[in-house]
Amino acid sequence: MNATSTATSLEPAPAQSVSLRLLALAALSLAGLGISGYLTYVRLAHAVPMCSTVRGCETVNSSPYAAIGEIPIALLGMGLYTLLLCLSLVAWKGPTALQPWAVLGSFGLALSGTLYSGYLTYIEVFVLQALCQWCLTSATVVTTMCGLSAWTLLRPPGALPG
Amino acid sequence: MTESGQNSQGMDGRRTRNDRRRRQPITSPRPLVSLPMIWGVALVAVMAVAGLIYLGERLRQPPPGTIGSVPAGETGPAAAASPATSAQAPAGSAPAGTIVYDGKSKGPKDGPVELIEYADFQCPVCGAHARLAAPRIDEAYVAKGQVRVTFRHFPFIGLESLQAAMASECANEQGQFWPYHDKIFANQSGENQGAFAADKLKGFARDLGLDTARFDACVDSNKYRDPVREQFNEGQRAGVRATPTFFLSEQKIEGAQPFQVFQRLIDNELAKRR
Repeated sequence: MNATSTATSLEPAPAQSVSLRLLALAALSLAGLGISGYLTYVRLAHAVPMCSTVRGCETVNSSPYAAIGEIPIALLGMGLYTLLLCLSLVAWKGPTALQPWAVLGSFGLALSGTLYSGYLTYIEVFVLQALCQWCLTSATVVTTMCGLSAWTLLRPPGALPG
Repeated sequence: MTESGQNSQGMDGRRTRNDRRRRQPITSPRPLVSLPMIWGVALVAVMAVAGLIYLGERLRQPPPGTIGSVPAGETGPAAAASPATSAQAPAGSAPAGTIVYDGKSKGPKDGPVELIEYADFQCPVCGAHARLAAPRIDEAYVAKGQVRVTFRHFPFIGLESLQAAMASECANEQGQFWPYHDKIFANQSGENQGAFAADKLKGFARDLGLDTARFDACVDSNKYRDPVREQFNEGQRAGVRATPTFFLSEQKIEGAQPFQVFQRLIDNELAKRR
């Protein structure tokens, strides 16, 4: 691998398409932050979550799988989405040299979130036998973010052959 | 894609001078950062998640020896919550095929396997267990004297969880814990919305033909508040964080598992004791 293959700037690319993707990443981070913030509140306040499924959210959110030790998973989710928001903002409007790394960081974090959400969904379906719409929405959000960041990494706008 | 192919094109999609000179065909755009870098990050992500899952599983296990400290049968604070066990049929005196009820336990005292359940009467998953797997466990194992099931309170959903737990102890005074247990689960409706308010709980006792004057006085006295809370604390010490949680010897079982899961685990335990 030579120097030019490690990282290049997003800056020279046609701005509109990449901006839309990065804006979408930031918007999805905000959505994820809202969901995980709400679930953190529910967990810490022992409140009953609003849920359209039959008490699934409460079963899931009060289960032993909703925390690692004393730390609620939702709180970890808040940390994840906060980092993702920062990285997507850097990728969007940050210093040119940092933009590719911010996208790469977003991809790594979103992939972690996607994999862990997959594990949690497995637990919901096969162990707890209860589904939490908030958790599933968060899983969808982070998976979409993973796809968007991977897409931006692998097919940067303007890099089409021609 | 070759390394030179990757590097012959600018990030913005414009060909470099070198590229134009070489007229090298490019079949796909090069990524923002190198592919090995992307794979490296993906690998780190996978390892981080695996570590997180492992850590979570480790922390969910009760501390070593905790299960052994949970007393078999009704002793300690639980015994205080079951003062009427002597009024019930003595364990082991019933013919085969009959379930022996003994306070908040059922099955023979000297049964080879004990299944301890921590539950909240308002917990819908506990209700599902009471309706689905529990009757099959009773039929397959408890009635045959192979398993003793013991109920412990873990009221965490709200005030009505505590009220229901205390009322069930009042029913236990009259040797009617299990019928009252079934009655409560059959009447679950919302949480902390009045389904297990004092008048409803007293109505269940009336429906079951209990001595209502004695039962009502017991409920009004809140005398089982501390024993119930002590069971909750005991559950927390044993590693219970949600309901229902079961302890079968050294194993912790969480959630409303299908009967087949209990069957497999109980059969394993019985095989060990043969």
